[in-house]
Amino acid sequence: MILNDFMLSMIILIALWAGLAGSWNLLSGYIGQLSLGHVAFMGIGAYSSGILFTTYNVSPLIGMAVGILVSVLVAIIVGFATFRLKGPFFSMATIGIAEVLRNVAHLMKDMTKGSIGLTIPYKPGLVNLVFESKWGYIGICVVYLIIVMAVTYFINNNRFGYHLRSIAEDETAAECLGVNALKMKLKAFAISAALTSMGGTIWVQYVMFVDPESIFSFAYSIEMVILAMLGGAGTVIGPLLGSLLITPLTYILQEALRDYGSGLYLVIYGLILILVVLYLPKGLVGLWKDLRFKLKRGSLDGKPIEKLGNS
Amino acid sequence: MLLQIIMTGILLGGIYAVISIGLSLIFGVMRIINFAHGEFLMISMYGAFWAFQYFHLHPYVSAVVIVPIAFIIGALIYKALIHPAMKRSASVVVLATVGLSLVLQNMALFLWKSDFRTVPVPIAGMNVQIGSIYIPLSSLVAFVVASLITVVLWMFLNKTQIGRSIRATTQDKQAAQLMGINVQKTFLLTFGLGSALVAVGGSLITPIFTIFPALGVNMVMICFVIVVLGGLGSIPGAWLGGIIIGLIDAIAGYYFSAEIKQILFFVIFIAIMIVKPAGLLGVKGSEEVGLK
Amino acid sequence: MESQSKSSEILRVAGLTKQFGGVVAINDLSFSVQRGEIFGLIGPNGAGKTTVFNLIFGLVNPYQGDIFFEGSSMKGLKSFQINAKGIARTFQIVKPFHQMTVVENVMVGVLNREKSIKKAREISMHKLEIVGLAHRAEDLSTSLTLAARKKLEMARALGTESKLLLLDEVMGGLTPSEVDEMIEVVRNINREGVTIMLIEHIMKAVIALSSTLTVLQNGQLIAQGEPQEVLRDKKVINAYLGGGEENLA
Repeated sequence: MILNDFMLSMIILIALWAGLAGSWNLLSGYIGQLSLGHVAFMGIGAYSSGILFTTYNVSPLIGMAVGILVSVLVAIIVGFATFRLKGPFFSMATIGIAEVLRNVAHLMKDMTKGSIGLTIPYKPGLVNLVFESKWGYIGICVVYLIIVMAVTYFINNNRFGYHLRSIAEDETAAECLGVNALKMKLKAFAISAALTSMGGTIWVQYVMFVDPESIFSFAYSIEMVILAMLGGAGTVIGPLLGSLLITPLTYILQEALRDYGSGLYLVIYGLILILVVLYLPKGLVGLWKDLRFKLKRGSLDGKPIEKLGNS
Repeated sequence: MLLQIIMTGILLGGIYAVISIGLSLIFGVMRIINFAHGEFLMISMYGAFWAFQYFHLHPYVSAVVIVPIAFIIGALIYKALIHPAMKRSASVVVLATVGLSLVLQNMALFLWKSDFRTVPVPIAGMNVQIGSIYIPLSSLVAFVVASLITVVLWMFLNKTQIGRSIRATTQDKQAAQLMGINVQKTFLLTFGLGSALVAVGGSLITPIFTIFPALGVNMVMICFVIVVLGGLGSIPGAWLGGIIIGLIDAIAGYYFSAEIKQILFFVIFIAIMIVKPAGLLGVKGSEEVGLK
Repeated sequence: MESQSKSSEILRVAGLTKQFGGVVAINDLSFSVQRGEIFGLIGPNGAGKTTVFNLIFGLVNPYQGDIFFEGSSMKGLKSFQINAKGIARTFQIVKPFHQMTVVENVMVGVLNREKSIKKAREISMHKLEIVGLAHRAEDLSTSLTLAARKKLEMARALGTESKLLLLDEVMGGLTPSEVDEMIEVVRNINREGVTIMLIEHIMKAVIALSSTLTVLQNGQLIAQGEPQEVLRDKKVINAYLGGGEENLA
């Protein structure tokens, strides 16, 4: 049935984008260095597996591993060069990285086929990460999402998570308490890049096509940001919540507004982004936590209002 | 041939400079980067285009109306978006202006479609010839105006009361406040002024470049590099940075492919931030803002 | 018990000089801090006291001269490395981690040496007891009063198992009774075996706590010795009156 097929596609996209947003979250949600170029790692993952599969018939599972390795390397180099940049400059640099890779993809025409793009051959099978029925894709996307959420959860409850949170709050204070900020940030960046790259490989195996313009799209970077921020940056479940809301919305908007022009859904994206960062900074998860805390304790900071002022 | 390329580069540099000055000013005073800067340019150019279409106004003429409007719109955007965002955090400003950029770019795409527009005014085709070198008159005008603006703006910031209060706020927000300078009003003025400057740039380049909704995206990265190269907050720096980047653009564009040129710009950006974050003529204290 | 081979000197500052632009902030400063003592550092505003702390802690680079902790040079080390060697500090303007609870704030430092979250929490609770904040362990750090936040700063620093603790104006902004409380906390910490260097303006605390007193003016050492003697020193009195500080009497 057509409706079922649509819903299956939705599940795939929701899970995949939740995973991608969750990967972004590991860096920017926890550390607060805002990456606006995470699509760079999606592209690395997509092209690594894409090139190896189409040209050399190497399984995308191996291609995924290669993509992860390359992404980790790129992340460490980029991080080392750019982590000392403050706020907007770091973000600018990340946008630049994605742009550079897009240009590199064009330049390496021999391998990437440039604007013509790579078409993934239809050879169904688990090793090829190509599936006849949507259920196969649902399988790997859900596994991917679980991996991302598990890593996030593990970091949260691990000393790495404590250190990351302290760095995000006040790097100087954290360093004075013995936290090696640069090393921690590089680690987070590497993990984030690796997971994003995984998502990129899965993405290309689903849409079966990759070219520089479509994969290194700024809109994808923004989508990761919006999903994570709307749901709640720095939380395990935030990106999934964001994806549950936004991914179907994206699709509906794209369909509904198709007659009016291809970019209109991005206007909505932009507005959502502005509204979320101004009025919902902790995302939906944060909102929920605040409400629960308020109801439980009678005030937001845990003290009955009259007692404020005693130590 | 090389001489022609250099001349083209310098003229292009003037254009880049006039577009980037607003960004540098805003960063110098407010310590924020407006990621929607390119879209401000794009909209002002569309404004010039529609003024030409419907009222047959030459872009240089319609500028008289467009630039003040840009100032007002800039001030409104400051009040509605930038000010609330600045109250929260620097990251919020980044994301809010990114969101604004998305909204503006895609509204333009929706309203005016992706067709390339041009404003075919006579000046677009006129050249001045010196020896074997052709100098497009429109580019020359842009270069001259850019240089004039640099000088006028520099004098404004250094010789007038308002200008000096802007400079004082740049150097030390708290001290400025203690001296009775209304920091919020200064920010409002600065953002409006920066927007107006972008509109001036837009009017100047309307006869030269084609207009389409995504033009801001291409421009904004170049503006970032120029502002960082010239020195954050330095107006003469933005001029100098523009010229240098214009030269590199022309030379690299001739000898290398467009892709390599883009990569080169990014490499320059990173190199400056690492090696000399204050840029060539950066104002005092700007280095610490670029680096931690 | 301390081994006989450890010298009694825990920190030595030698010929420390630092310029900012054209201004000489610290001028050929030398002193040493003995293990187990409470070393008071006072001086009028702008004398360079916090700069000394920042230099010791690697937050300001580069500088001339050298700083020795337990005999080894700290020059060129990053803050987290210096902390690992055994120095911790609090900040004049307190910097708690807002999104974390009180105990989590302390755990950040503890987790550098302790891998297990559970053990780290236990250790952190102990540190909170020393400063008297154990009852607020699960509250968000933003809900604390200024005095409590200062205690939290100290507990956090303690969590890093440091041998030397730099306290930067912990008494600032506290009421007289809070000052008394804080004096006791500092004494407690010292009793646990932590050497303390303290920058302070509140003379009551300075006199109550310091075993030696060093006075800085314009980046130079102008007096050093027993608190009562130092405070009677004419140079010191002039430095304060000239600088518009509160009366020492």
